[in-house]
Amino acid sequence: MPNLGDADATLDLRSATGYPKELEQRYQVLQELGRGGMGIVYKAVDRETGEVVALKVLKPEIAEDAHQLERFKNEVRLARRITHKNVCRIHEFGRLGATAFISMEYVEGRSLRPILEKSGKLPLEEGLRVTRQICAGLREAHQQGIAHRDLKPENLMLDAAGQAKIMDFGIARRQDSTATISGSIVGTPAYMSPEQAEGKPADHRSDLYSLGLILYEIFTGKAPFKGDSVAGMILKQIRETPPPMRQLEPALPTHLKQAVVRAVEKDPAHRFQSVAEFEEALEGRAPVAPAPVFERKPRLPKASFAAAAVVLLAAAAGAYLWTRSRAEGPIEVSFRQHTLANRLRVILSEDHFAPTVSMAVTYNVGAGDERPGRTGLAHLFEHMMFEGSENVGKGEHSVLVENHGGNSGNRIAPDFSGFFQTLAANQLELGLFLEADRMRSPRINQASLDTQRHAVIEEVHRGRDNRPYGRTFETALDVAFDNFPYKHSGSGVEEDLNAVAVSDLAEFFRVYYAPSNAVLSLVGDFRSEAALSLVRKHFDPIPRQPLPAGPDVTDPPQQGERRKTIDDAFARSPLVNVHFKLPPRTSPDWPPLRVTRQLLVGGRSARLHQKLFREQELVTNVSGGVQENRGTSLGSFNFFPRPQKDIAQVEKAAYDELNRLQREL
Amino acid sequence: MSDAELEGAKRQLRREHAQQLQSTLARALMLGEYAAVFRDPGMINTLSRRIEAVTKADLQRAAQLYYKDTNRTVVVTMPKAGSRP
Repeated sequence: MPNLGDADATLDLRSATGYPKELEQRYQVLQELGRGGMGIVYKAVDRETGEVVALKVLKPEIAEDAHQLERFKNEVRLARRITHKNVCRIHEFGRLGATAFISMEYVEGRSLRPILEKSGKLPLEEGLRVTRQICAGLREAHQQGIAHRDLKPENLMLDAAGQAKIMDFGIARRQDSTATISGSIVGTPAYMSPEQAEGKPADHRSDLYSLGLILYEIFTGKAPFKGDSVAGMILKQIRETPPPMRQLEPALPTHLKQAVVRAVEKDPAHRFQSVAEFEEALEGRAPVAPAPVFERKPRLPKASFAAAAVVLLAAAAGAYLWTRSRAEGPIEVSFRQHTLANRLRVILSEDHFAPTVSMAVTYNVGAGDERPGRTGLAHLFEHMMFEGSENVGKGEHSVLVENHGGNSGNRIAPDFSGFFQTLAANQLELGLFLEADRMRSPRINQASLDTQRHAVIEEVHRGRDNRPYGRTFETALDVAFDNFPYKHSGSGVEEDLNAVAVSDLAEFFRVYYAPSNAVLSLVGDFRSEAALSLVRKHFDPIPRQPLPAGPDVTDPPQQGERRKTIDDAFARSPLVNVHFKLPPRTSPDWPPLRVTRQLLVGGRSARLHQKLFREQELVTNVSGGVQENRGTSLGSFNFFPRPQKDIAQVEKAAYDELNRLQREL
Repeated sequence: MSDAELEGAKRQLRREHAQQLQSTLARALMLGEYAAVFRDPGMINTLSRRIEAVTKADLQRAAQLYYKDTNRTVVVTMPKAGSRP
């Protein structure tokens, strides 16, 4: 649901000490703790609870990308399921203004990295103690179906009491290849498993490999692989075996050395298959059987080199696309369309650049289709679709995708809702099976309804009633729109949600979640003909339904300015939002409007930023957003006035700029 | 408005679009939305072509039509006095 946080042109206005000023609304920031691929981590005090927390503030390019952010939130949601004393606790995903962050347990202590740097190896007993604790945390996470995928000494903390804690579960990095394309090499090459290095799906056994390398270092004080380039390191993970530990530490127990060797087997099938097995062997409680030798293929350096080259090439893809777009104007996306007998529309777009496939199922239903007294149904259904279906268990969808190295998520807007995943190309059919099963037979019963009703109401409370500016956008919709579809936000009114019966949900499902009201889009590494026959196999059996009548989504023209002031117990500074009703997304006026938005709020050189922030110093932040609808849309400009500045003065300066656009040619 | 300002805005939009399209997931989501809501997945290409064609006169006309006082809704959120330290 677009809201203030979806500002499309957030300006990077930082406080003097470098952290986003908006954090001050809720936290007192104490110090910067570190920087990573996702953003900067700060130590802060929650003004509400007095608790000291670590705040990971996401980089603007992640925070502003709605799709990336949605997937990221899903990962946080998963990681929050892990409650264990050896895993750093994730509290919540939050937003203050345009700043998106994750708050988590603050761990006072040091990571294994400086400890190993200072003292080399750990004494045997101490090393074993730390290992047991890491294993305990990892075991719990794996039991929840969550793999870490970026274990390294930097992510293992020892707190003041010597207790080990695994940091950054599920949020360390993106393991899917779309992330690879958009930037850097995934993971940390020094501890990356061979399957990750080759860009293949990585499951929990990838963690066992990384842990094996870490233990090698803990007990010998030496990194198993040394390389001065990322590419060199990746090749070593694929091709080389670490030097035998006995050469470095002859006195180590034999079973421990054997266990590490087994953990760092190149083929996941030859490693221990669980943390428990690994622990048994480390402790000498179970003999380490030699790795089973089934069809062990000779490793051809050339082939491996090619695989590593794929990873490296994928990292260069961003630059490639960008160069092409500069040279030839906008990029064209080619695709094919098919309609199945049940009227499911299928869109196929081949892209053989990386061996992955992304798929989205988009239903032509959103909050705009809800009726008064029945709000929140579309939102509720987003949740219900994770309750399982005839052949898929509750919550199993995301776990299956994750375990195959993929990512899944969902989205909802006023006009549509949908589900998506990115998978290794050879897992295309898994994704199709999962989506088809819940399109055909989602688990709708009293128990699943009660669970998800509760979750949705909780979410509404968190999002609306317990955060700064939580009611601001909802108020704007209510004031600006006359007709019901866009007048209400999609989260749902609590009493409406409480009134939902199983029969209401079943009927909503029958009408709106039929193949005839949906689109399946596939982009990635597949052959269209083959993909289409898999699509037919899974989706053809689902019956079509009559097309639902859409609501009237056009608002009458507005006749005069509308205005409302609200009080907010959580806000620490005033916020002024100026909204304009815009035409439907398909209007010929849309492209010029998109350009005006860019001119006004699209970056530091944009007009509203220049005038109100730089020249007149009236505001601390300017941003813009838009709700793009099938019917009447809404464009927004958001201003945070500086302390002591008059709101009327801020508005006047903003309107002067908007008027200038109307006058000048 | 200078030609350079308009061209700069278009260039930024072009770059943004190109960056978005890098991800296979973003493409799948856009195609899905445009097909489901507008029955036109081709919007993934046409919108950026139309932006290239925008003139200063188009901008002025759109601003006059939509950024006018009578079409405006203002919401002011004020911190509730005395409710928090």
